[in-house]
Amino acid sequence: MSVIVYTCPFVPGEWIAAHGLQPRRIIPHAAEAHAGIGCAAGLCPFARAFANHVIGDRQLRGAVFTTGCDQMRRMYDLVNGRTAVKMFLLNVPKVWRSAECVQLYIDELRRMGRWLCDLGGRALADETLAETMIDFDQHRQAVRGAGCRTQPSCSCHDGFIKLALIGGPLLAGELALFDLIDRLGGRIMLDATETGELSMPAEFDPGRLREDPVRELARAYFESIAAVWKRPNTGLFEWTGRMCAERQVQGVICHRLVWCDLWHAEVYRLRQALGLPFLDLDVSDDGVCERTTGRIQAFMETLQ
Amino acid sequence: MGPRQITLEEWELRYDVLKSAGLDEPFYGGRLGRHLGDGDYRLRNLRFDDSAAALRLWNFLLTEEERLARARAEGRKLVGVMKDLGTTAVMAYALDNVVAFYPDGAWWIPCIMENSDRLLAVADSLGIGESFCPVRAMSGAFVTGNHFPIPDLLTCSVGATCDDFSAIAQRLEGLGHEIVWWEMPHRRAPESDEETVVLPGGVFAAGRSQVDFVKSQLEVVRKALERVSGELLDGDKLADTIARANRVRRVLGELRRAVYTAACCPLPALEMLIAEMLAIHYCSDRDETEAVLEELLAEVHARITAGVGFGGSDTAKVFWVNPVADLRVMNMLEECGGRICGTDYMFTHALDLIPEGIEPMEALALAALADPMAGSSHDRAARIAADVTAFGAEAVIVSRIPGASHCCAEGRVIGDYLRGTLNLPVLEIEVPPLCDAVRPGLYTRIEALVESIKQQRTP
Repeated sequence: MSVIVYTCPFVPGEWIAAHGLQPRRIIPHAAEAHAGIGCAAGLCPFARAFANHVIGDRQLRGAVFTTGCDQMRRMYDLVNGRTAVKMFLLNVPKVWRSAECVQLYIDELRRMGRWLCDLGGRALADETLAETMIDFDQHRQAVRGAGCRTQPSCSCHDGFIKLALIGGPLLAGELALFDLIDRLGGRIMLDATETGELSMPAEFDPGRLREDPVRELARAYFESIAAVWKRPNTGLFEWTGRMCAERQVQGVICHRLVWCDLWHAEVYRLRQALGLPFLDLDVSDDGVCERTTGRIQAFMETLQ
Repeated sequence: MGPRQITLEEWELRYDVLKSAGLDEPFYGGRLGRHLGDGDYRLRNLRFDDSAAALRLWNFLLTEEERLARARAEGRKLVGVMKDLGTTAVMAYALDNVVAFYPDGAWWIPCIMENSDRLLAVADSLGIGESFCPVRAMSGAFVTGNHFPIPDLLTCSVGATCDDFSAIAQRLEGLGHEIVWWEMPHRRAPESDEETVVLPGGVFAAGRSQVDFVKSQLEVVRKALERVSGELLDGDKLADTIARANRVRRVLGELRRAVYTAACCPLPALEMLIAEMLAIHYCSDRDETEAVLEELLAEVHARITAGVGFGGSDTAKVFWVNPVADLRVMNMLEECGGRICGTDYMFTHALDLIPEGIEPMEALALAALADPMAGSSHDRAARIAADVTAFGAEAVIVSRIPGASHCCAEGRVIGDYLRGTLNLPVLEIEVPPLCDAVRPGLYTRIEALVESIKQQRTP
């Protein structure tokens, strides 16, 4: 009963853990059309799936929504009052090159901290936070170094077409995309979706962490994670461009959920900026369906 | 004889009659039909109020592009203030050498020009297709440069705004139009230990920290305005511009009160929608906006005194939520036997008086935070409920904007709230930029609402 669930990468798990509660960042399963909050034209399938998870999981202590996109902000309104689960809306600023906005993010974390205390969490101590941050960072380091995707010259990639998967968050059913692409002769060298590497916070700087852990947390998350909704979103283009080059990517699959205006609007520029064969893969909440498979298959054939 | 709603064709004769009776027009006056020459073909399908005041309103609206072009030619700085709908324009008009406008307004061009300018096709070519709100026309307007001069400065509020606009504005920056972004936080209830600040309109409140934060963001806008204009934007100028904005808002407030509470509707829904829009950025001429609204108000007072108007006293009173992408739908309400008694066209904060007698930047921050779209849909529903009660509306129409990120969720929240608190019928409709193809369906739905309103009345 101490689980706090969230999906947004701008919610630092270590912040929740340092308050003595259990952070759980989930990749939700696609929602049943008529379950939970139901379905309406225009609703983001991912936001709806998260909402239904919150409504349906009676073991949760709390759920954190964020304002990263308008759909999720509005989803908080829809869910509010339909579940006994305690909910919190974290205001994550869109403008990021601004000292005031960094401070707003920190203030919002502190406000969330008070909410966590109300849910039975303990008051935050800087020392505990610093230790928790180091612990989380070590786990992330292990993930970063896992496998050989960071080594594009590794012989295990021979014969495969090196691809980047970029875009919005994946639903649980869509994780099968990785296997599908593998079977079709491709290898995802870069998972630049919002549920992948794109949303990984920066490594903590030990010196700054000792000096002011909260400020360092804000730097590693708010200032460092590239997001399509940041204004300006130049960081997204810089990061994906650099990573595609590093991983020797030969083609890009842009995964975007229907009704996601933020990714949809950037498909055009990403295609131009990356200068690689590009598949605009619009998906709904029906998992890896025949249409999706067919489109990827055709894309792979063009790259052979 | 009472007022009538007439066609563009009928306005030709009506214009002659008014002229021969000594109609005195401002510099932008003239026949309404001349705007067809600019490609404003939708006018052929609209029905207009037949007063001289309404003629002035329409001519004022339809000549904004000329005013902006003239301002550019005169060397004045043009500022495109995007998204916040009402606050930053007030700041900009404090400067002598600046004309501010909302490029957002381009969203009505596909309707007004019946797509003849192909702005939506240009947006399509940029990858901004039909799944976006019709405000995507704005990107087409920037590319073609046919509808307003490219501004010397662009500002845009982001944060608690819709994804469509934020995404499209970002694309504008990608096209080389530099933007000064400023953050509008999601308005939330004050913390228990935080000073509560009641916002203009009296329904919403925010915590002191949010007010201070918005002030810091408006300072960013202030500095940008000073840079582009070369003028100092000091407290005195801001206090003066707030007072001037409030003059416009007072006239508009009285117009709304008079029209929405009159026994017989004295001004149609379409003209009222246009009148309300003027509050956002004065249609690029603040003095003239005040004069246009005052003439409308005088006309309305005269009609109320004479007991004339549109429809009978049994006309169904409807509160309208969100602006329509196709203006023709406002005519449809009256055709179905309804009238407008209250509105929330997403900019109620541009109608509320900005506090005076306090530090101007604080006052502007309060006004910006009162944006109904910056808070929760529950908040917005509470404001709607208060206004529904004040204006005596009997039902609510929530008009969805196709593709808009807020519309898929807010209608349900607003509907549930109003049914639960006021036991009112709520109807959701969706209005595309040109509604002709779906007109029968829309008509049927509105007609059914009007019928149920009338049936529910106690004899």
